[in-house]
Amino acid sequence: MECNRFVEEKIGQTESADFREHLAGCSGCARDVEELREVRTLYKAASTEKYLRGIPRVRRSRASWIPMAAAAAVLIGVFALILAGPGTNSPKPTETESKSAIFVRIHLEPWPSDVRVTTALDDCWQRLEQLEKNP
Amino acid sequence: MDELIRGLQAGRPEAFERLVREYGDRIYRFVKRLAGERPAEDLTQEVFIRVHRSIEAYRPEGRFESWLFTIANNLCIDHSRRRKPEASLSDVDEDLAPERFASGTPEPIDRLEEEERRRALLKAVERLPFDQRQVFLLREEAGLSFREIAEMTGCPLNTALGRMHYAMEALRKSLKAYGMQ
Repeated sequence: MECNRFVEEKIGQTESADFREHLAGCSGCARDVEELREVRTLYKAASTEKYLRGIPRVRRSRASWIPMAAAAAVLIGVFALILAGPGTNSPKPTETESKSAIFVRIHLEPWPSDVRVTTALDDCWQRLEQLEKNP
Repeated sequence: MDELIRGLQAGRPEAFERLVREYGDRIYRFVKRLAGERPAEDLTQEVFIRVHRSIEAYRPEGRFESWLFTIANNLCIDHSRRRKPEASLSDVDEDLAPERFASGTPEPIDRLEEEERRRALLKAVERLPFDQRQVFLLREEAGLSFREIAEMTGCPLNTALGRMHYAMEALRKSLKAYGMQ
């Protein structure tokens, strides 16, 4: 057993001078080496299958977050602009403007920062109803 | 090799193509014999996808092949834990399809005998217990040293050598019937 292990360890490495010397004096190891070589040679000849599927399609994971982050930033920016409105110096609606134009202007008027979106929309609807009752 | 690794880490497509071209067949054969024919192509693809994902973290402390086949080995172990081993004999027969093999031009009778012996050896490899088969394939297919195999599989060097010894004994016995002296 010890001798076989010696053979298997050595045959996996570069065959050194001391290994060749050992083989010359050990018929058991010499026979083992011959058989191991035969098994190895046959295996190399048998194991020749090809990987046929080809190269998998992959994307760079480290860059994939950049377009997503950019898209998210744009969406957040647009949403913030809608919430903030055009500012306090926006022109007031004139009497000749249509109701739809008034409706849009109401939506774009600035709201206090602590007002929730749903509350602000309710406020818009109430103000629109008032405008319809008292044009 | 350094150039390949630098190319992979830089995300160059040609480096990835070279990786698959150079290691695809070996990884495929390793995975096929360790995990079975059916999942072999999927697992091979997964090996390359894992390499792609983790190559930036790769540090060349050992050989690249050792790192690469560690990924393949771990995927095979995960797969084996999830599923029972497949019936291997039909897989071997199926996998002897001509297009899978490199072309050669031996004489017809010699070729039949040679194919018989090859088939017998591949069957014998697939019949080996998992631990022996793993060491055998890491040595013969991946080309790792026994020290690398011992480190990868987390066993002492003597255990790795012992598993190889028993694997070789089993293969030699299986080939006795085919005229091997």
